[in-house]
Amino acid sequence: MLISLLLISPFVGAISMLASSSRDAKSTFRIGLFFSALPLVLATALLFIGGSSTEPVHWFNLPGIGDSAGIEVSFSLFGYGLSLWMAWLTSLLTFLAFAYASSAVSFGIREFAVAFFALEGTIIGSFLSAENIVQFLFFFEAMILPAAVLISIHGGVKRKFATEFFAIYTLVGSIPLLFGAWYLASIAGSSNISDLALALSALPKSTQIALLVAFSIAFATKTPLFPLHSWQGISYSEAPYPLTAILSGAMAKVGVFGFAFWVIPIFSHGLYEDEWNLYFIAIGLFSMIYGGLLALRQRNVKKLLAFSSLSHLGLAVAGLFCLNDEVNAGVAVLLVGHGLTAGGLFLLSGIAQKWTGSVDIKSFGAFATTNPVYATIFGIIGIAAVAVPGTVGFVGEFLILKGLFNSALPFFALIGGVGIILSAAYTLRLIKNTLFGEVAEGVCRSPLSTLEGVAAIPVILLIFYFGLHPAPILNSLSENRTGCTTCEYSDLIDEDSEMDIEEFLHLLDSLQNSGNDSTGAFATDTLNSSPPAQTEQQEDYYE
Amino acid sequence: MTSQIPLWLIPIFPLLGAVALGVIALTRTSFARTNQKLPPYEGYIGALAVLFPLLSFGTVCAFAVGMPSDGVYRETIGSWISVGAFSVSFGFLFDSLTKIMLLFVTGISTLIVLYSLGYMKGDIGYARFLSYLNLFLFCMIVLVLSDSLPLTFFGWEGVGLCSYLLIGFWNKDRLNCKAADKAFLVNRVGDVGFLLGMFAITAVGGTALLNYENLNEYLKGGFGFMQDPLSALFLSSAALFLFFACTGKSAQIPLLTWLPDAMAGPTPVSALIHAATMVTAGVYLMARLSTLFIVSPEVLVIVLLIALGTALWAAIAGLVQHDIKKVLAYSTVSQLGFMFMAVGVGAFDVAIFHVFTHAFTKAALFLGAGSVIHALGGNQDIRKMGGLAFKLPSTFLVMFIAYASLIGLPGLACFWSKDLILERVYGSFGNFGQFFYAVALLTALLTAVYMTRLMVLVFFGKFRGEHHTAEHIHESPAVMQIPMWILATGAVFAGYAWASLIPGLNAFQATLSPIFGFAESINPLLSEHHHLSALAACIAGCSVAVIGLVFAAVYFTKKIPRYSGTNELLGFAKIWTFAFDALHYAVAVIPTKIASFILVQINKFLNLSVNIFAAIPPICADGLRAMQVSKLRVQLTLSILCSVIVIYWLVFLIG
Repeated sequence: MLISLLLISPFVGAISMLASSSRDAKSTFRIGLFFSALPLVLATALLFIGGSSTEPVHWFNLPGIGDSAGIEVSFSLFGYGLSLWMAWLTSLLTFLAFAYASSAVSFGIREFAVAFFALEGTIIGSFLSAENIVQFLFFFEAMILPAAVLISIHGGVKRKFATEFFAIYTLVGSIPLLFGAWYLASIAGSSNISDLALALSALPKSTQIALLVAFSIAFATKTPLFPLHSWQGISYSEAPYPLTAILSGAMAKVGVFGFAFWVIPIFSHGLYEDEWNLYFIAIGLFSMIYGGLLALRQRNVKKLLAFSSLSHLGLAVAGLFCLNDEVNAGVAVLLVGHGLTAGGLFLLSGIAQKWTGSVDIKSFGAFATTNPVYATIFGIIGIAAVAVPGTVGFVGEFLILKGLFNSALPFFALIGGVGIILSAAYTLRLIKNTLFGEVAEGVCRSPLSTLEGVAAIPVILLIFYFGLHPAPILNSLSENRTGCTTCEYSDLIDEDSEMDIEEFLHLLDSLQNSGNDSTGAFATDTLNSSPPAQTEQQEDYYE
Repeated sequence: MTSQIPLWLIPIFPLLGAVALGVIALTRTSFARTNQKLPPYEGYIGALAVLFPLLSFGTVCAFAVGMPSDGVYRETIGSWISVGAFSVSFGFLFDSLTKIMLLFVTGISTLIVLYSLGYMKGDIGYARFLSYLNLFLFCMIVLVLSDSLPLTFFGWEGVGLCSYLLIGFWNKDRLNCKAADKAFLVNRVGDVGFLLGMFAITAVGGTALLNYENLNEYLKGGFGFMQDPLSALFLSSAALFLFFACTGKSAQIPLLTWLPDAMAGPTPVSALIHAATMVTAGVYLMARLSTLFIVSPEVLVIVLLIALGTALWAAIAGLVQHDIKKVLAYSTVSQLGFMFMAVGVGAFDVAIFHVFTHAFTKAALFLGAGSVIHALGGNQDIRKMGGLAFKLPSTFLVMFIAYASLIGLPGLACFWSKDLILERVYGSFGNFGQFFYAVALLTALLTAVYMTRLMVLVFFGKFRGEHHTAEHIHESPAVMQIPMWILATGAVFAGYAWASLIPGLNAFQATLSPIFGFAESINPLLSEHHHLSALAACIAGCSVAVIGLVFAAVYFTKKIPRYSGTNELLGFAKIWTFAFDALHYAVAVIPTKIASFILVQINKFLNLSVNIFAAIPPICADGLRAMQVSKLRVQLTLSILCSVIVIYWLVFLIG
């Protein structure tokens, strides 16, 4: 019940906004603020009760091959674990971004709110669709429309070009997924994920690879990953800054979510057995380094943050394809953390843009002297983006890097390490240019508005809360992931690790020259991080 | 073992202080911005700022007093990251090593916060500065008190962050911010080593080994794991990675360039963070992991070589500096090298002992330097000083005591610890030990030379600065003098905790023996045949100090470097000092720049190719439109044809 309300509430908000006054911007803004808080309240309540889901309801039939009955499409909502956290993050960011909208949007706040809430609803919809791929695709495609409308009306100088680029690029990018999903569904005779996975395993390897590529192109465009990120810079920099916060903080997560909930469960066999996952890790890490190095050279603050998003989400994708539940939990924390920090930084740099009338970081400066409250908030969120321990980013990066170290190539962890050095480099550069320096003549000294200041407080509190106590996120995954996605490959994990132990024992035998057998065996046990052995050992130590 | 007071009280006090002062700072600056005038609450703010470190110090004392020599307090206040088999908690461990570290960390912090009240008076960021100092103390306490590597890493990056904030404290000057960025980034490179080290340890035996006590038990449990080449490899690489992290935090080769630049921060910061406490965190970490390092002797060889190289390089660089704080900074790097020498030969207790004596000595020196800078209104160039001994007698006496201690004049604090280090270096590595000893002795000689040069140029001869500054020279207020004198007292007497020549005075060693006993008992580096008696080591150490002192006193009284009109270093001084900066530039900065330049071009190419691709449909569309608009019949025919095809397809192919 609650979960259906969560999905409906943004659309209700969007429709209700139509009834508000187009003349009285202030009251319209207040009504909008109320409607943006509604989904947040619902999502938070869902988190507290631990999530829920709905039974599948028949929606419509797709024409299929041969069989006249066609492919049945059902509608169901799934709100546990990563899905629910992402939906919550979307509603939180929408609320915050809308709080900043009064200063960002100079005209047509009513129309802005309508499209903004529609966007929120479609993003939440795609996060809550974890069972039926047609339902997922419906929301996945639908979210482009409100975003494009917002860019084209409220964007910067080059908004027309940016709109075309954004809409066409992302639409074209998802075409392979449409075709791939339709092909797979027509073979399976069903559009449910478990049937799709089953149908796929019967296909020849080459077809599987083609489908994997088709699926991945769509999600890699949405995330984005190198080399499908061209739309990102121009769209992020031309969009009004509340929208940029949503694009980076929430919409980009749909891509990662797609990898986690569709690509990995459906293609789990090939990813494990043939180690296709290594290519994804490599692409993710390359995107990380690529984004980091480009962010180092950017002077446009929005493009800098866009590339930093590319960098962080590259790491998230790399972590996802370690195919390990511990690391997946880390990815979830990283995604929540990135939503908070990137969203926060986009909003704050938008304020700086408003003050200075420029997006060039060289034209910022000395806000630490002129606007200390703003500088404190910016500084804390900036430091959180560097992932200093105690902030939420660290938990995610730590678990992901650990996963990379334990993956087939420990070398990956070193590349990840280079990536986090780069992230410190460009973030500190941003902080230095924005906050520090000599006060220039005629610089704007207007303070942050009360609403904007207060809206930043929950972001800061959550950054520290999840940094020191990530258990709410970590536990929600370990309890509920079996509900949908890991069921397909959880069996495979065990087989895999057993095989590794055998291989390893063999290796050890050949390497061991002589000496103490018992201690050798002890080391063998401990080297393979098989959970039962480890917990025993842990207990031993505590005694 | 449990106690009545909870351990988390120790870090919580400075954290509360940091938050309280932070809030005050924010409201104050906002207030100042509107009214252009500071409200006169400096006294209350100062009292608040000193109170919290003092409470923390008191708590540590309360723990230390009742603690038996092999007592250990443990406390876990909650889980931090726990998922699957991986679990890290907020756990504290208070043993004798922690006790010694915390006693001087909180004690010296309290003194330096007190000193800052005078030094920073009138600065607009007064409350903010004190808030950062409290935050630093919190992170440092967490670093030392933690019972596991991840929580130590929490403190480790936390102190790095505070160091960044404090180096760039005067943020109107972007040069200071640059120095702060450099410190943070160089440390970040080391921190990646820390992370990899932790991962390598978990690869050997799971998360449980991240806990110090578990790791020690595991390693003590037998040498069976050494038979397993993979475990041994992981353990040695863990040791190497963690040592790499230490070279970042403790400014050793190759990551040492940030420390001299860090002198851009206010002087109390240099005294507290960049001399007495934070930079010794690397030595602390290696001592904490003594068992891990002692079972990887090949890593210890690297440690010793790097330590010797760093100590010698920094001593020579210290000879040619003009800036009073830079001389002391290079001296700190050099002394850290001595501490790592002790670690490199497996003498962990000696290393901690030198950390202890050096903390008092170097803090006193820095505070003295701060007092001199304060008196001269901000001048830091020793070529423009001179003759200050009679104008600033109290500061002179403090600095002289600390100076005598640092170069190792008999009876003072650093004399005892440095002698022990030299003695241990001689007695390790067989015949190589004598060579290493010679290098260390040469470094000790250079220490005497550059420190005497500093003292002569600052305090003796004639005043070489401008006349108008000469008239304003004044001794610093009592709030600065008191901490200086307490530290100077420490610089005299701290060494008697372990005076190796006097039987019975080895309380320091006895306290630490439960921690390092195992590591020292199996130390594979000790050589049987080479042993230097304590007395011989002492005589050799003293004589180089005296030779250096006399030579430098004579030489630099005669040959006073003239102020050349610029603060830039020239010639050899420049090449030698910035050698590692050049190295970093060549190895890291330039490749990064080249790579990002290339990637920017690739990115442009990608955007361009997308646009070219996107241009094809409009071109085709234009062509079709030309055909369509003008000829109605063709258009109609095409429409019908297409409709037929679509309907056929729908009806017959799909059904």
